[in-house]
Amino acid sequence: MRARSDKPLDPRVEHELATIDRALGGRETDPGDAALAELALLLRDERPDPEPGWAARLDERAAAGFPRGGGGRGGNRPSRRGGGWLAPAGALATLLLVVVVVAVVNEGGGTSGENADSASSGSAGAPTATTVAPDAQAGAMERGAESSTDLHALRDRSSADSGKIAPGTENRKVDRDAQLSLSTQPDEVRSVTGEVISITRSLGGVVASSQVSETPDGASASLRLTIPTRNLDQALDRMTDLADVDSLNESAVDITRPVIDAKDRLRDAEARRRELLKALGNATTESEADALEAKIADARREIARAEAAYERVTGKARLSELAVSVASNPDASTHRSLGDWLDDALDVLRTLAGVLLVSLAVLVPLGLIAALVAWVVARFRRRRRERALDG
Amino acid sequence: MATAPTREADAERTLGFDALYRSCRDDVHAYVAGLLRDRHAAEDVTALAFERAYRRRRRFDPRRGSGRAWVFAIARNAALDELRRRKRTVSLFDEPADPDVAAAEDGAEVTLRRAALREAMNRLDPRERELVALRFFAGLGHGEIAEVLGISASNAGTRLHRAVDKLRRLCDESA
Repeated sequence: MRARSDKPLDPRVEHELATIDRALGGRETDPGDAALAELALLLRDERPDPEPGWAARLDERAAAGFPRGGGGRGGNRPSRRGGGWLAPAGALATLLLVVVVVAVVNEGGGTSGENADSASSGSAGAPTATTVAPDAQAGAMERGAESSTDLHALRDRSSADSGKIAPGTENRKVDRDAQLSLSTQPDEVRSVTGEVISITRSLGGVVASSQVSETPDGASASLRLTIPTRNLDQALDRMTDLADVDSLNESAVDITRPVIDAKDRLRDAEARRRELLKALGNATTESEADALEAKIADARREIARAEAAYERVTGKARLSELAVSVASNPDASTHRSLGDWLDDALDVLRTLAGVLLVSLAVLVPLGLIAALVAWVVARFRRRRRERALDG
Repeated sequence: MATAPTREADAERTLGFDALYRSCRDDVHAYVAGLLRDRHAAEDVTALAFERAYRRRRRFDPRRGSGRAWVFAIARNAALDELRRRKRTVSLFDEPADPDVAAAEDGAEVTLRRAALREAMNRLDPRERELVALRFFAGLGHGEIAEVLGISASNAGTRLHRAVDKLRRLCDESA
């Protein structure tokens, strides 16, 4: 509707347009422009006037605010509304947005659900007795925790006690294992189990086995986890935050001596093989060489055994076994502190921010595409209309 | 609380639209009829244009041009849609309302000139005829014509001048 930027008119054109303006305005024109002025007036006289009946009917409709649904000539033709494609396009865009947001939110919260599913594999619905075999070893530290309120003191004591086993030396090798018994509300067993698995994986551990049993009376789960020893304390810290702690048993065995012994054995075996190889090189008779080769073969087997033993014992130092049981207990606390509420609030805010971000990530491109489509459609419609004037 | 100002604003807009409708109705009809050269189609399209303008009156932005140019732009779109749809070639100028009356009033010479003018109009192409309809039937200045067509005022003036020039030549040829 807005006129585009302008350039000055050619003086002759401007003069003739001004003559037309003067003629139509009833003002005097130059005698030399009489023909143009007459043409302008003749053209004006050709103006088609509306039929009075039609004009009256249209006036009535205008006064009534152009009510919909009228019929017949006189402006009552049903209006043809443009942009009919916008409604389905908008609905499609909204649907797409909802699908994407739901998918992203599900994916974001899906870790525990996925883990819960994997935890339930193998015994879904089948009542199974949960047993966590005590794995106490000689010299192990072992104790139970009375309640969740002693949780952090328990963890602190546990770390301190572990320290007594291998005091003050970084080169000490310690074989650590733990058994953790949690109890929670019956309807939270599955989610707590999922969280345990999630924590294990996030700390580089693996789930060696998991069982979740659900009965009308409640649910329980037992898991055997293998976690890098350096992350065991962190794992226990996080898992004991998940529910009430019925018991926590940690065992720590100093295996520095066995590690050194295994290493020495390996070294000796390798030295023995080197000596035999050297002797083989110096052998003068065939029978002597045969005897040495047999000994070398024995030495090779001994090296393999020593390597396996060394790997086994160092593996115990690197990885810890953690047995976790989750039992349902209707009397268990809901386990919610102010920190939990704050965490939840933070989670909600984080989720909202995520949804907002995802929405923007979807809406902005969609908006750009919609604007582009609208622009193209408008251009197309304009050109199509203009073509009506061709020919 | 908030409804009173809204109602006032609506009433103001309605009054504005009423005034616009009254000032434009015959001009829009004349322009559309000149473009379509079909009296009945012109009535339908004019009514449709005002209905559309009424429904979209809240979207009108005075900063983008006059209300009159806005209504004419809506009417133009409706007329072009109609022209494209119907592809009619019924000539308004081939069916004068009452040639006898015109002849009696103007005399033979003027009647001849009118006939030559109508014939010349029929030989204009639709774009030229549209410019003539906007200027001489609807009474728009070339600034307003520029707004309706979405071109510059100088371009509108130049195009109008060329259309009138051609019309004069065709009239001379007919004479």
